[in-house]
Amino acid sequence: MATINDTLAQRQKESANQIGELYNKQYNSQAAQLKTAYDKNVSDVQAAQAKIAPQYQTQANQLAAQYERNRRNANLQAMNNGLGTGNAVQQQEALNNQFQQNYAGLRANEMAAQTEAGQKLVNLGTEYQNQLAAARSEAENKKATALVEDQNKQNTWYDEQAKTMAGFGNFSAYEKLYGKDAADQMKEVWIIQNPRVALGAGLIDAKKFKEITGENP
Amino acid sequence: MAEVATTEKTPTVQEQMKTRETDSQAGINKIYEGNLTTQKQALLDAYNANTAAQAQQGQNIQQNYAGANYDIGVQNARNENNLTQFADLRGANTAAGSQHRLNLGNARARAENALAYQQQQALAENQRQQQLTTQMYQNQVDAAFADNDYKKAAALLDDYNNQNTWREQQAQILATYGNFDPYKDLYGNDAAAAMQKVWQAQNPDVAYRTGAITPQQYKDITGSWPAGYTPPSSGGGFYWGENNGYVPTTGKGGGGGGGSSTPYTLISSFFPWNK
Repeated sequence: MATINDTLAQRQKESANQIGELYNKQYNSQAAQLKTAYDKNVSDVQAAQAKIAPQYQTQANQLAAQYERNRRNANLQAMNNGLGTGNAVQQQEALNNQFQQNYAGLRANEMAAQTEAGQKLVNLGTEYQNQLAAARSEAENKKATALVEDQNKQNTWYDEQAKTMAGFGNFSAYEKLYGKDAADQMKEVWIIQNPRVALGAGLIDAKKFKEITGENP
Repeated sequence: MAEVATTEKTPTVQEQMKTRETDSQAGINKIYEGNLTTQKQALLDAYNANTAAQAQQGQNIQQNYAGANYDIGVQNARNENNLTQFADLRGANTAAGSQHRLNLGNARARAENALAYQQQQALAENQRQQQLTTQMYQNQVDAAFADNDYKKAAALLDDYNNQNTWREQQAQILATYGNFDPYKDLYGNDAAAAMQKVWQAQNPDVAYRTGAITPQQYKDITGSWPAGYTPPSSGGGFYWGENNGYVPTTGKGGGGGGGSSTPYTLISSFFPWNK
């Protein structure tokens, strides 16, 4: 048969579980919202990132085509103008240098864009992870506050039950609070103050009743 | 082997009441210990995920730049080949050819160097981000500790105040049953004893029957002997019932004389709270 102390232990356990579950749900809900926002942001950045390589390849192709045109034109002009070998080669070199510079610049820009996009993804991940940790922290702090409040509530509940039970001559709850000696004394006082009830409830016998009241029941 | 008798000391009311405070504080400590453990784990999970992402970004940078470098090299080789063919077709002499290759090599080196410099900058930035993440993680853990300490201290302070209020309330409850032990801690022994005397004067029957006062004290309060008690002058040393809790120290049924100053001894086994 469950005692008041068993009931208290059961209440404390159930209450703590419910509080834990409540704040886990709160965290899970926040985490789901954060994940939705994170996934959308990542998707946006990845979509933009996917365009980088084709964009730069198009520019590189245009650059190469332009270089080829310039090279051919220069060559034709050189032949038509009777330009010397040294000068013609120098002209081609100049065109090549320019192209190489432009091409390398283009690739460097592409790399910078790729690095930036990659860093954006990393930053989004960092932000998301930090938000998750903050949400967990918030939920845990609320849970801790709720658990402390619940501990107080359970104690108050126990005190009220002790008082209620004492009204019926049961001081077992007070035994936990004050110890057996004090609870026994309280019970004795209660019996002396309520001898007829105590007799009716079987807490004392007729002899004890007479000792208290001086009368036979 | 003879058993060794152990004497277990019964806790006093105050000691027993102290267990509520101890349990409560232990509960708070446990709650905030669990809180800190979970928060630390959440921060560690975030840190691990962040550093892994940054390490991946570092690898991506290396890979991307290697690809770009290769691409530039291929493009350069193609151009070099074209130019060399062009020079050969135009019959450039050996010196011009050497100069031409040197110029091409310089152009390639400039492109590669520029890219390598940019790659180093990107990797340095990635490294810096990783260090920042580590620093941020350490700061977050420190902050979590400090915050947890603060919240726990606040909860313990609240609890301390609650316990004080609770002790006062329990002292009041116990006082209604004639137990003023908790008031000893609150007001001191003298004040508690004085309160107990007042309670006994207000509740002489209960006080007498629970063995808190002697028959003589009962008579001093009420002006008459307790019901069922035969005073010494009318038979001497008789004690009321068997559960009064008091017997004359001169011996039960000592007969005659005695007078009202007969000392009484409490049978403490019956009223252990008055030991």
